Amino acid sequence: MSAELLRVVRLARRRLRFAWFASTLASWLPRALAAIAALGLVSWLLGRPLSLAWFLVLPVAAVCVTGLAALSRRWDDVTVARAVERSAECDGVLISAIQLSDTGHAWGDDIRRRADVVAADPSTPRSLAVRFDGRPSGFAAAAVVLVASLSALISLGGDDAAADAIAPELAREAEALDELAALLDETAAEDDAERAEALEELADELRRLAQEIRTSESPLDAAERLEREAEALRSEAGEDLLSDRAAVEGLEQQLAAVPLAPGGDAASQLDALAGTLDELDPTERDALAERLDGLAESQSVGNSAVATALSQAADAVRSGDLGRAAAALAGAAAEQRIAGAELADRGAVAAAADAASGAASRLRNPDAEPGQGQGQGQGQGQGQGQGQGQGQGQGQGQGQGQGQGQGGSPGGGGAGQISGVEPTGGQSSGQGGQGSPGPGDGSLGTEDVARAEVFSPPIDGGPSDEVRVDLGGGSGTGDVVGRGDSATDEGAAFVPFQDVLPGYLDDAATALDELRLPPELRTTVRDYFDHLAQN
Amino acid sequence: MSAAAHEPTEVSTAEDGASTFEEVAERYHDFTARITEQIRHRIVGQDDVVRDTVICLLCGGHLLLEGVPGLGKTELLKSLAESVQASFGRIQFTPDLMPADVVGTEVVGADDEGNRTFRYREGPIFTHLLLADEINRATPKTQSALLEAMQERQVTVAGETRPLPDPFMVMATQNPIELEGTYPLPEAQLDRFLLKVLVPQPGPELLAHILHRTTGARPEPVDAVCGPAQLRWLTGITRQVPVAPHLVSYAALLITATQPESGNAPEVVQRYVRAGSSPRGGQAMILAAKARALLDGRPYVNGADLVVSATSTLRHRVLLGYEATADGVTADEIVAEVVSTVVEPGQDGRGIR
Repeated sequence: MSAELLRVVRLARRRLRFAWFASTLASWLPRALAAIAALGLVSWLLGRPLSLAWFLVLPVAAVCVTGLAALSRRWDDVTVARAVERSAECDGVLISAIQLSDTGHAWGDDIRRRADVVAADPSTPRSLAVRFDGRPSGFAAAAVVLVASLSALISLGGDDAAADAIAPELAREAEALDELAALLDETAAEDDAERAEALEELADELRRLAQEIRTSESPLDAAERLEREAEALRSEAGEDLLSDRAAVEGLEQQLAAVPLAPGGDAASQLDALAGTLDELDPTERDALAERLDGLAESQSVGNSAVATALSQAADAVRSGDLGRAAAALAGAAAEQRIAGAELADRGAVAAAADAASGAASRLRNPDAEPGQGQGQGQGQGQGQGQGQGQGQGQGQGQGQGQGQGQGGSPGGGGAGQISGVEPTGGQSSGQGGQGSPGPGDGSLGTEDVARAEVFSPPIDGGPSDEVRVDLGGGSGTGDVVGRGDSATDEGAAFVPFQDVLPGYLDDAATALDELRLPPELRTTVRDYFDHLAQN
Repeated sequence: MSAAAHEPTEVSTAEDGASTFEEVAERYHDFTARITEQIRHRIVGQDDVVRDTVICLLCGGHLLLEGVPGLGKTELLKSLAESVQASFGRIQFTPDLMPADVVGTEVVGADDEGNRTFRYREGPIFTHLLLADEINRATPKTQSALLEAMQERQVTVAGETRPLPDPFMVMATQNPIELEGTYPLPEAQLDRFLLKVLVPQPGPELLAHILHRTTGARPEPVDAVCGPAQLRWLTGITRQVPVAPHLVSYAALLITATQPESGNAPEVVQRYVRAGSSPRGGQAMILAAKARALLDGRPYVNGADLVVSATSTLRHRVLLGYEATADGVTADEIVAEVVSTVVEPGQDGRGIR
């Protein structure tokens, strides 16, 4: 083969390689682009949209792979010459020259001379035109889909340009975290040394997080860091925080509504009660023991130490061992204080986790409007009456009232009256007092907290049902009739939610552990029960 | 039956002195152009038929012309024979024609001393150019008398084999429509023909020209422009044309594609063809391609030469089945499908326009 022919074959092979590369790319690129667009769409639907870099990396990778395949592909001289001949229409002289010029044929030189003439023409290797095997319509459709995906991605904040646009949002969230950290610092200053140190550490953690958000290049990266931090903080706060809080605060509210003894909080009342046990008569001890059992039962989920102590106190009161009962009550008071302190710490951690999670959610969905709520409040009173009669003609009445309000304000309290008539015959009757409507106006807060009515299954009884209690005291029948509102089977439940909330919290915690809920929805559920427990 | 009895005379010694391809090609072209010119004295139009006829002559093969009566088949072959100035014989094939009428027989005669003895009397086949007119009218027995002559260029009579003149070329005609009293040529006989050329009906303009030429003054006489030696030189030069190996492979692929049992046969072949071409078809295709290459002034064969030669060399070698007859599919359509389906080796189509 002559040098001229070799040169043409080399040039043509290079061009053939490029032609193969372009044609293969044109054939496969629409499919690759469509796959990338589909991948981007799926990732966006799954809540983790691909960054712009991925949309660039994948096509570049496809081009590189095709290029490597083209470079590694081998074409023999006959194939290359054949390709040139088809384009240049040189009557097969090149391929004949390659195959015949070195065979010693009498006309071999003639063939080679003719081939050299063709090869010397500069247009010969360039005549090998590149064509695209791919369908233009498919290519155009894939390009449109890709451009649309990129546009959607940019509008969703998945690229750097969107990051610039959302920089103020990042600063705002970081500032909110800083404010929370400052609040924790203030709380730490007022607290004891050990708790103060923990709160300060938490505040430092929030400040570090705020700084990371400020320096983050992408809101999605910042959101991911916040979510990781929120998850860690939630783990630190404990998954049973809500049930524990419901139990501890529920005890406080129960004792605030119906005190066991004079005093402020539950622990003080328990301490005070421990000092006055010897003043109670047997009947009062029995009633006390029964109430302590009830309180212990309400604390069994979430505040088990207090529940155990209260149960031991009830047993001791029932058996007449007042010393052991007093010690148990003092222990319950101490456990209640410890639980309250721990709850405060864990609550601060949980608040920090919620703040981080909320910031992450807002960064992921910057266009979402802040939560707004409208509500109508209605105060309702609920009264329970209890009467006691004694044969000696002394009557004691105790009224209990409870108000429940719907909305952001707490329910009003109720006041009960007992009108006791104690004839000589030893009969007494009592009537439950009327509860006063609560002061709640039903206005919702401005935070984006989802609110809904608490569902409670209907139970037996209605507003007009009578409740008869056989007191068993005195020589007469001793019936006490109380009348008051009870739970209905229509509309919203009137069950005091302190009675059902621990169970709800327990079920919710179990469900959250078992169900594979999205993180945002899980946060919403936790927030919901958190607010219920606080109210 | 008639036979030209004149002795051939050498016109020139063109086979000597040519060294380079340009010189050879020039002389080759000169001879073929002169032969074609002489044929044109008698034949009007039919360019493809004339070209194929000359190609068959240049290849040293046998030619089968098929066409309805009156298209000038016999005149074409007669003018070709006259232009060559070689011995020429003509046999009008009829049903009562016997093999001895073709190849000759032994007759009783007397020698110089008056003794009676058997003497072989040559038949009309002992000629350079034999016109077998309406060959399908003879019985198969008589047709088969040509088998040995066409393939081995010799005849065996009374146990003695006698060579035929060199060159030896059979030019046969047959009528495709008058089937009454005819005997279609068997495949073995057909395979002996290098080319089968179909003579089409002339169009109105060409027919008018023919009518004008043949009803006026006597046509010009045909001059002999070459002799047997030049024919041998021409056929020898034709065989010298080299063929690239990939084109030989291409020819082999085309041949096997006509065989329904082969793996690369197109669907139409598998459906309509009962038997495909023999290797003789490939030989004929390459030889015809070589002649075409030389006529085009090329010292090499290209793929187009093979493609153009495929139809005339393969159409009589493809045996169609009943379905083809029922569906009106012709052998030419089968060959065209084969040519369009089989890809020339070395064609990697991706990315190349």
